[in-house]
Amino acid sequence: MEFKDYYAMLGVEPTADEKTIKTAYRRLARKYHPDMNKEAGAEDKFKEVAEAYEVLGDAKKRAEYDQLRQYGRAGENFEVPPGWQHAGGFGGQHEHFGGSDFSDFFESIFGGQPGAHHRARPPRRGRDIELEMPVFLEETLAEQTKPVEYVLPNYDEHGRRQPDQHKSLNVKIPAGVADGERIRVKGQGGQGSAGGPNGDLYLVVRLVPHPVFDVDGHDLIVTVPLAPWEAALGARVEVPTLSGRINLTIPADSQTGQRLRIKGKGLQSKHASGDLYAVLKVVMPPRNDESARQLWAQLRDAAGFDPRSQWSKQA
Amino acid sequence: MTTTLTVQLTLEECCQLVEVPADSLIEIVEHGIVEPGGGSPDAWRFDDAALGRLRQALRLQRELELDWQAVAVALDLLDEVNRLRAENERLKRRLLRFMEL
Repeated sequence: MEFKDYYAMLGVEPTADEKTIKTAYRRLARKYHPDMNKEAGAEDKFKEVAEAYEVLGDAKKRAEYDQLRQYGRAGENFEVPPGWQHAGGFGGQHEHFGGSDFSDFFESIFGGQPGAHHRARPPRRGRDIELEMPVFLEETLAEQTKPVEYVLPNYDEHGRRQPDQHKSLNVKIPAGVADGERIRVKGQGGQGSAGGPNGDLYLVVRLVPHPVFDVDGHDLIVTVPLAPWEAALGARVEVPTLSGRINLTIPADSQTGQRLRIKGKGLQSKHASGDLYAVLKVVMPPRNDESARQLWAQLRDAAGFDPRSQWSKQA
Repeated sequence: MTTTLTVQLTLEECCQLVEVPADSLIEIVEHGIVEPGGGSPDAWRFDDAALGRLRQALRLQRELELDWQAVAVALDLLDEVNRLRAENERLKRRLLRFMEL
């Protein structure tokens, strides 16, 4: 087991006073709190900081830790010296029982003393677990069954950490789920202790960005590239929707950025169905041969169109 | 096969789930941090979104040692940040559709 240098984790000297330790904890906790910081690694960093403060912020625990520090050095292997007894006494007394994220190092010093004291423990409900679940747009159109795999931390009757439990379930995803929606799966969270019920599993829906469609509330947006002559003369073009292709009529004299509504082809929700908007985008041919160039020149001379007539007045 | 459920929790059930005394939960509601359905505490019903928000509020209060007013401000700002991030992401994607051929 690795020795943890709690002073280094909080960035304070071993001689630091209570106030310095508290300030250091508050600053780091704000910085790395998983609700405030979504970057990878922030949560682990926060757990370290919280564990360090759990010890250094408590005069008794800090004194015990200071005693043990003479036996270990950060990053090196560490064994609790024989005969070491946590002054707190009873096993699993600290309030994090049954859901501690603290390290083995912490548990071996301040955690339970299995077998030493058998106390009747009140039944305790397992933890609720929250997971993000990626859902493809296509999957929101009808009810789906999706496999979900996750890992649950596992504790024995003394609150000591056991190998993680790997779970896999099939979960029914109702039609019309929206981004951020929470789906509760009863009893599939953390294991209860002493006969307490299991916690629940909450799946938070995250719609996966689609290569073609963008989401705007219940509506979908698809960008449709058009040749200049299609925009000018009108056309019928094949447009993808979430449920197959359709033919869309492009009116003559269409513009880039213009939106055409395709009713009922958006996302479905429990109450309404959204629409699909085709946003037009006029695209020039990448190159023109000599005959095409001549045709463009004819158009230039005949059209009498100045796209900058408004713009130049305003500058 | 597991079925999904809708959550409608009473004050008492909600307190048990998140392990706070009723007067704390009433204080949280008074700060507008969660808004249960129903008029009076006896009639309150907390849905799963409220439960998630409540847990987040309790984390912030305990782990950052904030008072409820500060928790309420932090949550409002976090909501705003998340909303703006999502909007920024969406607009960037929209813009990219027009830039790329």
